[in-house]
Amino acid sequence: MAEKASESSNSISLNTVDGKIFKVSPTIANQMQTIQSLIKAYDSSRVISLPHVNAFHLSKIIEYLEGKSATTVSAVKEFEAQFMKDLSLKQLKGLLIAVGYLKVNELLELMPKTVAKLIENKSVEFLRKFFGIVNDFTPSEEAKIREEIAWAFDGVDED
Amino acid sequence: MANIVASIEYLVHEILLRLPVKSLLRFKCVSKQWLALISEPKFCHLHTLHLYRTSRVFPSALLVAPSLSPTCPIIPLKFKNVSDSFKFHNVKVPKGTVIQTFNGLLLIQRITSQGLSVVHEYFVCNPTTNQSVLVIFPTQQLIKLISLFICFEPLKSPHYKLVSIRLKNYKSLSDMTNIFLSPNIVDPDCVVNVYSSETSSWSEPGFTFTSPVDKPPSQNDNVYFNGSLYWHIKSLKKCIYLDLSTQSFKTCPMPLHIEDKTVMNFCESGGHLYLVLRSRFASDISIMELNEEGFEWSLIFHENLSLNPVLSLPFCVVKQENDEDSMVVVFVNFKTMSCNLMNSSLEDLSGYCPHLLNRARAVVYQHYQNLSFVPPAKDNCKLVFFCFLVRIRRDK
Repeated sequence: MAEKASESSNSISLNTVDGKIFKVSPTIANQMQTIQSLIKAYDSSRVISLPHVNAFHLSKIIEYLEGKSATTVSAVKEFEAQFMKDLSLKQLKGLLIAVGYLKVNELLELMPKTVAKLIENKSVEFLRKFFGIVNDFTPSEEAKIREEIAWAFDGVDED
Repeated sequence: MANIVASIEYLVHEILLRLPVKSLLRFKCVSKQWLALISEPKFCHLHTLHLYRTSRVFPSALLVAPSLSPTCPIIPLKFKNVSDSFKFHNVKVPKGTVIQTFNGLLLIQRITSQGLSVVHEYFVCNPTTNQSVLVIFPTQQLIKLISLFICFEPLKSPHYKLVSIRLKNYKSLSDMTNIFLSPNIVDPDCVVNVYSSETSSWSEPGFTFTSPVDKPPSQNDNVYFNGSLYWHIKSLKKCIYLDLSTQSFKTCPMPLHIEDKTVMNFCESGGHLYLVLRSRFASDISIMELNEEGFEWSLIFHENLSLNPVLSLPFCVVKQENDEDSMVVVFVNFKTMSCNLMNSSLEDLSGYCPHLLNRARAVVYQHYQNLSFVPPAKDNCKLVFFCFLVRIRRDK
């Protein structure tokens, strides 16, 4: 309980793009590199605005950082699996951007690994849509690459 | 905003590094930027390192090498429990004979006749990325008399090495005729030259050793293991190895009590060295593994496979991360089969790859699918450039 008290006195307020204010302990805030540098830049009593992060993504990141404190390796693994399982691909994408912006080191290994697992059997078209990439090949250029590695197009999941 | 774009680029890079080879090849089609990134040598090397660090250095497929074929079927190994992914696919290779495979790179020998002369050429090829390069030798060397080996250890370096071994005092065709006419008085001095793809050049003048046999060690029956080239020399009943870092020849002890056995194969897989033996008067197969200190062999497999006595040359031992998945690929009853090292269960590989039905002229190798970059030969470019300069001068 003593810890809670000190938390509230030192806690840092984070204002998300959709106007929600989160109070987090310095231990949690310090695990986000971007916030660390913002704390140094601003007076710590001020509310830090996060223009690229919404409440859902920030709450997820905080949930992860708070929940990860499990003691055993297998418990951490189980927690991570459950945490990722609850997220849709769309939510994962938003979370990925938030994690990248906030530079949450703890998640910079797990997120790419999870996304890689989910997209490994997806089609090229799915990938373009997912990452918002415009196809800049001419049809003949694309056909040529596809022909060279035709086997890599076997066993692709339906979108 | 630029901050965000950069961090996403970084994350996309991190995601791509964690994708399997097959997905990355497919995603070359996403955009020009992705094609450039996935083809970039530095990215390819990082990806290979990632692959090797997560799944350690175990073969991911079998490569079937039919002689003189411009394509080789690949049978993936990892996804045994997924029904359709065990299907084979073909990769393009320079037409010739695969003489060695190492960590995903192939060494291919092509012998063609041009008029009255016979031309020997060698290629290094990564069939996964469809890249290949002609090996260029220093001009004064007679390629026909060379034994060539490839060494490639991605965990140590992104560059491959070629080791050429030739008899020191035989440099011309007439010298070669002498070897055939009087094989008993061959001068056994050999010269070793090493080529590095990092500098695109051969080490000169190389170093000399005296071969324990009357020829340069053969291109067959050799294994690169732990920084050394190993040979099993049947006539001497011995294993010898050339330590490339100390440039010295050493003898490796043979297993004890194998007088009644014939060495069928000598191979490496997943960082272990194996000897495949067959009893002389029975069809028992035993596999011995060299311990980590490199002094003792232990028996890891012994089974009667009722092999066809004539054509039963085992192809390779394939070590997998889980011992229960490790296998030896053998030719039994006119079929190419994999035999599990734990429970001796046999699986007919021709079910996965029709090529194996007609296997008389195909050899099966373990294969590592990775994106390792095979750089184009620089010497070639220099030569073209040089000719170009000469022509300009003449024109003037």
